[in-house]
Amino acid sequence: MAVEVGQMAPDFTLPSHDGQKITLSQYRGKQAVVFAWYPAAFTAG
Amino acid sequence: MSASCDSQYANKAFAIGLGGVTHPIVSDWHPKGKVAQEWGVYNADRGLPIRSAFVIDKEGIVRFKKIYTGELPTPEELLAELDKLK
Repeated sequence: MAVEVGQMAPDFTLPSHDGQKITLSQYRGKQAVVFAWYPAAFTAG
Repeated sequence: MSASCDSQYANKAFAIGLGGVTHPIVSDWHPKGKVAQEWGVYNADRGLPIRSAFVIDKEGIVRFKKIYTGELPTPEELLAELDKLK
């Protein structure tokens, strides 16, 4: 399954680096979001 | 926001190493890669997410998607996508 342009972004809640719980939908109605995946911290991945 | 399958503690150290970050780095660590799989950006062979970027508009609709194979996303590219939403 893949997310494609034009569809509703699947929601999630994940812990952030500073200990908060971030839910994607908390930004809905407020601001656009850039969501970037990187393979692994500290590497050229 | 950015994401990987590293633990939140690795991401905290990563953020410190970058000199601090102003956006959340979220951790798809446990259960590992669950969200990456849902988004179609999990490389099961490597056990790592695939480098990729999405732009989601204010209504929660995906407006941009790019999978990176070798090159890195640039701020200019992503800011240009954000500008298109205005």
